[in-house]
Amino acid sequence: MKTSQEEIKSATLGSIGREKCLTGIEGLDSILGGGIPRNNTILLTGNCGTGKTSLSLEFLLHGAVSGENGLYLSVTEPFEKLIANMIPYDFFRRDLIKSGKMTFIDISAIYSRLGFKRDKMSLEDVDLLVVALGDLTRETKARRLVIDSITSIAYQLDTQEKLRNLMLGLSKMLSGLGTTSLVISEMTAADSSYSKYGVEEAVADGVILMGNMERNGDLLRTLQVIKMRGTSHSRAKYVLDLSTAGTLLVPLLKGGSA
Amino acid sequence: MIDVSVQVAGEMQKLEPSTSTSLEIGTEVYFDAIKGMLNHRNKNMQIIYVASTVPAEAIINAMKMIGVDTSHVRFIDCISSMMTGQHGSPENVILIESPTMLENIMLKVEFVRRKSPDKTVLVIVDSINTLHIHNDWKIMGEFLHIMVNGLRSRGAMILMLSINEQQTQEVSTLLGLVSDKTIRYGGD
Repeated sequence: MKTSQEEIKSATLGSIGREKCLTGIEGLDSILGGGIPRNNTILLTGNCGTGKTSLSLEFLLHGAVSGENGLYLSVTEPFEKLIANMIPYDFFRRDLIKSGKMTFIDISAIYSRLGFKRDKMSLEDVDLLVVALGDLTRETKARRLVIDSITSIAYQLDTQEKLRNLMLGLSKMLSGLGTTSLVISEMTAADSSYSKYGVEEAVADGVILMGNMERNGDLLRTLQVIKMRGTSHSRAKYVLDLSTAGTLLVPLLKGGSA
Repeated sequence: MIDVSVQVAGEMQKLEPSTSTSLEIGTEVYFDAIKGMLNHRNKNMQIIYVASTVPAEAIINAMKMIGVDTSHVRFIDCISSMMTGQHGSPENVILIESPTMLENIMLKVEFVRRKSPDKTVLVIVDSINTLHIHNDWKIMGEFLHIMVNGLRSRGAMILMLSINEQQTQEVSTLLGLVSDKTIRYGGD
């Protein structure tokens, strides 16, 4: 029989019962009621310069420090450039890469391995890519994965059906492997939905929106969890700072306005 | 004549974790009060000084002239960048672009707090009046409420300075809402 304290606890934010993957980003874990539900595929979306890459690297880094292997699939930047531009986190250690706790792969290497030569992928190519990413996740024993970015991969998909297949295939495969993933989506200021093609957000288990907000001439970096299956979460907007101590978050002040 | 710096230093010794204190001072004792606050040395305490009245470097230099070492204090300077376009700063000074970026004050306080995980944190806000010049009372109230309670929950001590001669009813009300105790010196 549950004690009253246990009952209260189970009724509080985020206690739906799913095992959580602690992002290690204190403020975000608090917003998510204890972290991302394990095996979920999350769309991390936002305009340029909002901190998507930094946040996802920190997610992998905290995982590696706590013993969970991480895999970073880069579509847009070579590994060395990515590391050179990374915030010099207090908790970053080069040996995490050398020991295989963090693996960085340039997606062009996967394309070469698969023999992709066309500008546009066929449906069969999409299936092959999902299988290849699954193999890589198994090989590296990755419990955390980042794809940076799905938007860049999608440039090689000429129909929404292919993108849907890719997202669904990835989500199913990663969930089956026990991997929690952040899939980065690049938006422009003109986009009205949370992703470039609209398909990504519908298929993902969660959507975290990062943005730039101007208030009286000041530009603030913001973060808001739009959806997260498997947990109760805050839907408020937070202001963030990307610091060497990690990503810091505080509530956005509203000053009595909406 | 009573030395305000000695009295303020004495009050500093009495501060307890998770408390918020309002320090109302007259302009004539402003630097004496700062001397009393910054002269307080405790190796297990991290002092974070939010400077929005006078630039951090001016405080550091003024204290240096009267023999007060401020190297153990981390300053969060909200005005130098906006007023002088200053970008570089001494090692113990963090610049914030504008005093209107109240969230950034909270973020930088949290940053310094994380860098000193084993120390008790004392946050000095200098001053509520000058922050109020740049921000309306609604957002100021929200800021103080969130920051003070967030710091309290982490065992920090908060000391909020206000200047008697510049005191408005709005500032008094705000301070009354978030302070456990009020101390007054000068400005009579």
